Amino acid sequence: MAESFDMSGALRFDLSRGRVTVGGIAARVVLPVEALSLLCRELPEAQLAPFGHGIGNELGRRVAERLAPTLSSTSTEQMVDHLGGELALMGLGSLNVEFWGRAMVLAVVDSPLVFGDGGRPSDGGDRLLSSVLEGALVRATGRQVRVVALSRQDNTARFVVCNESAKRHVLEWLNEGCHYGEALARLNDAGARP
Amino acid sequence: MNGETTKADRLQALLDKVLVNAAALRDMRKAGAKPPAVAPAPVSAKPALNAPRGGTLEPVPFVPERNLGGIAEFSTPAARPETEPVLLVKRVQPAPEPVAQEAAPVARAPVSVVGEEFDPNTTAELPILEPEIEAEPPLVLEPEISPVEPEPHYAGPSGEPAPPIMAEAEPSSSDRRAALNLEVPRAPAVPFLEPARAGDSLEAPPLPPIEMEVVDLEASGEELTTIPPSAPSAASSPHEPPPLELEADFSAPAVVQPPEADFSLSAPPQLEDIEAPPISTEQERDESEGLGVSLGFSPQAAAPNVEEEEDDDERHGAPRTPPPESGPQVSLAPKEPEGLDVQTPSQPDFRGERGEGPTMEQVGSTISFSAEERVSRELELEESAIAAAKSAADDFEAELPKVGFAGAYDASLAPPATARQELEAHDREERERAERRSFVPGSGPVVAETAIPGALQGYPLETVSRSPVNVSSPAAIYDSTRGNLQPGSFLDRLEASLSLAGPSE
Repeated sequence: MAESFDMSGALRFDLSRGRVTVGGIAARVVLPVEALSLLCRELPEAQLAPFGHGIGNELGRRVAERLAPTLSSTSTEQMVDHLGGELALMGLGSLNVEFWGRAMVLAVVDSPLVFGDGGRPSDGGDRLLSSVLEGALVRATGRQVRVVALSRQDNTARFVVCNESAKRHVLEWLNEGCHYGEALARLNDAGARP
Repeated sequence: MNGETTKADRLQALLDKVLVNAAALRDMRKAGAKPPAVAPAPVSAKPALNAPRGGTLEPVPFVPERNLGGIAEFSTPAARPETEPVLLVKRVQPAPEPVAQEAAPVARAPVSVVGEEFDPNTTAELPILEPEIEAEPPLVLEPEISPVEPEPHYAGPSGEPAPPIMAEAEPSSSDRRAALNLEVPRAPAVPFLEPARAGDSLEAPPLPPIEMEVVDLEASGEELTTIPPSAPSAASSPHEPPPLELEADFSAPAVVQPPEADFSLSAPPQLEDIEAPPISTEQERDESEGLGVSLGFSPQAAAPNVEEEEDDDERHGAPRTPPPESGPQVSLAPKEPEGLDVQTPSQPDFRGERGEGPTMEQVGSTISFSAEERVSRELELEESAIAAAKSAADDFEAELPKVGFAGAYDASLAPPATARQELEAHDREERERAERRSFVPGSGPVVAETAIPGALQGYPLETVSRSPVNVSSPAAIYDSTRGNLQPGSFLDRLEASLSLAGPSE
């Protein structure tokens, strides 16, 4: 059984060399959020998704290194522990997992990636965060998953984990002005169909 | 050396041209011709590069800066051609005088000469005229103050008319002030109270001479008498009766002594002992007049007041303070209750001649009893009225139970007449309530038939009651979550989520 995530000594600041590393290997760059916000605004959707996937892949790789031997038996709590820990080390917020029926919803609390008004899922920060989560899940589990930003409410951004066809339906429902709860209900009803 | 000579020659030639031009300009001014209008050079204008050499007086056209070659020409000093004389450029500049004259009228005061219009730009010699400055409108010398009518009584400084401010504001014009003094009437002369003002003639009116006459008394043979202090007042009111001779004892407390007052601490006077003759007698009237004179007021005028005060005292039971403008009043001593004869030495005793109580003037209209009536003056109440009052007071008092019957039941007390009917009605309601409790649910409404006494007797009374609540069944049913979620691995749940909305691609 996989051990719980241990953050002690995960992030190292080598001030003499001016380097920040995670686990002493992977180099990190501490960037201001404003610079990242400006970059997300300028990048189109087709380029923003690969940018977020690149961040998420590195995140998922580290999770997979620890959980790959026991991935099939890894519980939800362990996955949330490791995946959320890596996300917290990058300063992207605190991860929670909600299950709305059969739909898995990732809730990121206190994420600094709020680049727009924060009230719409089309916000650049949420789109970047969804890409990061999508890349991490793909790298960690080896499944073709899609993550769609649902809403940002009370400093909590929610993302639903689904397949490609469900992503199109969810985006269509959200564009119609449907509440994310109703969209999740429709998603559960659609999944129940043969 | 040859080059220097050539340059000096050129300069000399240019200087000659300048002198010739200056002479020509001077001649033109003398001839009375106006100098040519020269456009004022802009502040930022550079020296006119296209100015004709030779110092002509033609107007220099304004050349915008953008036609002069651009900013680069300003950044670096332009190379001046050697052939251009510096002195010539300075001379070509428009003469400052016309420019100054054009700018001057802005600040110059307009000078108006009658019959002519003066152009300040003209240099022609004009006869020097002393411009007649239009005099300011003459000041209104007559103040707009309505004439003050002489007041019959002087009302103090505030009643004095306001001093003319315009006249005081122009102290230099003595004529105006004099005219003002003549025109403004003044308040009635109160020389010692009138405040002094600037410009007024402060000649106090002469006081009337006091004529004093020295009389030689010895020569006249009249006797010298000492006038008592009260003599002037007596002399001023010769109609009043002669003053009383009062012997004042300053060692004792000051007590106003009415004539023939009794100061002895005697026993309280009895009402029977008062023999009150009517006030209409001559003796009483004289005494009252003497008392009034001694206190400085007329008894005839004060008698009604005394009677009114006595009436008020009898009605309200409190003495009234006379108004201050009514002069000294007779202060009546409050009536003392019988049996208390405390006489303070500071209070005068107005009990009259006999010292046996208030006088008839103080008492007012008193009914005199005869000797027979004086004997039985006791108030006697009827016994029936006393008994009625006592019985009325007993109706509101409840007698306490006696010691032997405290807390015991009195068998003599009878139950109320409707007690039995109320008890039967109570039993009937209890029976009906018990029947409702034992009713089986779902059996329909309860129909109770009771015999109604009175006119409705014989007709059944139908009562529809609400069915009893079956408390055993829940009021609401809460459905549980429809999803059959079973705890599993993260991958199982992820697959379940990915399976939503059709098969994954």
